Amino acid sequence: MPVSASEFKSWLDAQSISTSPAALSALTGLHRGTLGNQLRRGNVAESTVVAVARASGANVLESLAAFDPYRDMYTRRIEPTPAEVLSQVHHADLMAELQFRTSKKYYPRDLRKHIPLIDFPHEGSNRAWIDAIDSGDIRHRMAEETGMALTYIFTQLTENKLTPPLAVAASRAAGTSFASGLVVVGLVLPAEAGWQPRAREDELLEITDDALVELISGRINLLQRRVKQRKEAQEYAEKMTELLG
Amino acid sequence: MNPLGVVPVTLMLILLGSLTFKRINTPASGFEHALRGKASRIALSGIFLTTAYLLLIPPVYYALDSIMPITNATDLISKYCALVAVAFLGGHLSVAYGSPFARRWTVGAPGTVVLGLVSVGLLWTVVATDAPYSSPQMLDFATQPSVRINTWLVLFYVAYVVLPLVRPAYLDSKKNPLRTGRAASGMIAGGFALSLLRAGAYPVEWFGSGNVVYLYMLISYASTALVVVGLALFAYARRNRKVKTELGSALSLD
Repeated sequence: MPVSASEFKSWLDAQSISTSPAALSALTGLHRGTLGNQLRRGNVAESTVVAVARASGANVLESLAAFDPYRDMYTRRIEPTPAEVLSQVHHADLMAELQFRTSKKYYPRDLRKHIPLIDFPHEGSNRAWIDAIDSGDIRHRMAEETGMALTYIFTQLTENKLTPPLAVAASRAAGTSFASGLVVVGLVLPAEAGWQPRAREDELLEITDDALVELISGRINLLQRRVKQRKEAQEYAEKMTELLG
Repeated sequence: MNPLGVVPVTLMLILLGSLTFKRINTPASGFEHALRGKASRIALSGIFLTTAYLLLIPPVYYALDSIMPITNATDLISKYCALVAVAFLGGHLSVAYGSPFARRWTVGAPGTVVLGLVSVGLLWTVVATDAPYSSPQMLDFATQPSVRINTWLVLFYVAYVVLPLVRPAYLDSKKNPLRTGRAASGMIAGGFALSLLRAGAYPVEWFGSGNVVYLYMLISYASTALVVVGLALFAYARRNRKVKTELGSALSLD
């Protein structure tokens, strides 16, 4: 849900920032043509607002909250829940934690002392976040709020391409932080949305054994499905190249 | 000898000849795969199509036509080669794209009947043409109704074969997991669409005059080039084991 160009221009005026595409391009590093097109068509991408806010030193969340689709930003807590933070930990890191807890002798934690956790978003991270905040019918409620087809939402989740409007709709449906959804989709940086610098590492250390195993089990189910899909894709591609190549 | 008629044919011959040769003469099971494997009909189609273009090169055309019982029978043979190539290709692509309807349409009973009727029609138009001398593609007599029907018959048959294949090829260009495969099917679908475009626009071409006919012929050349390059991309993907390299482990992040 891009923001309206007139609102964007008013916001720029209020920040004493020039509204010309050339000046905005020089400020943000975004392509001048892209900015010109967005202003001309009347729809400015959220990422443009974020880029301008970052470049001008403004608070990113406050800047987004100045626009219609994101005005509710501060009606809820900004910080993520532990489940949301853990949803952004890759299953390989979860399994590494399982190994560390299994044997200090065979899997000493020092083994990966200087290796950071796998960055997010990673394959399946959008889906993992939705699963973490889902109270039962979140996908239907997302579809109702955004007017998008349910199948489209499923596809976006499968392809890990959740959009900011869908993330906001998911947060609204689940009653969780709007800011976290924007972090999960990669629009806002974790630090800009109240995530502690080592939030994921800390939650990983604090999670109980049973919760860790349950989390891994859920992720393995998803992984199983993805591996099966990849196998089918490989077989199809193999068949086509054998028949036509 | 009009260069507008010779140059594109020569370029097409080079393209088709080199891609067909490359397909057949590739190390690591290339020959075996191309002529005896699952893609053998593609190689055969390439051989027939290359032969069709080779026969249209003026020195070959005149030499061969001088020993033919009917003037411009070489053009007829060239067109028969092209039709056989299209039939092989249509039948094979219908299997590859998983379209039983296209298979029945192209090489089933209806396809065979249409191929037979078009072949007879081509023979009749060549005999009916008032051609006192040999002319590659019968371009010197292009304004005669029989030659126009001759051209239309070929365009009709190509359009008949590719019509049910456009959609499956287009769908594959969207869903093929391999980037090379998507590009290849996109080119094949684009080539088929161009063939349909020319066949559909033939009434305009019929009443066209002068060198405009060469412009319309370029559409067919572009269409053929897109299809053969698309198929060559599939061959490239197979030779370079793109499935293994591009679609590796689903577990890998790298």
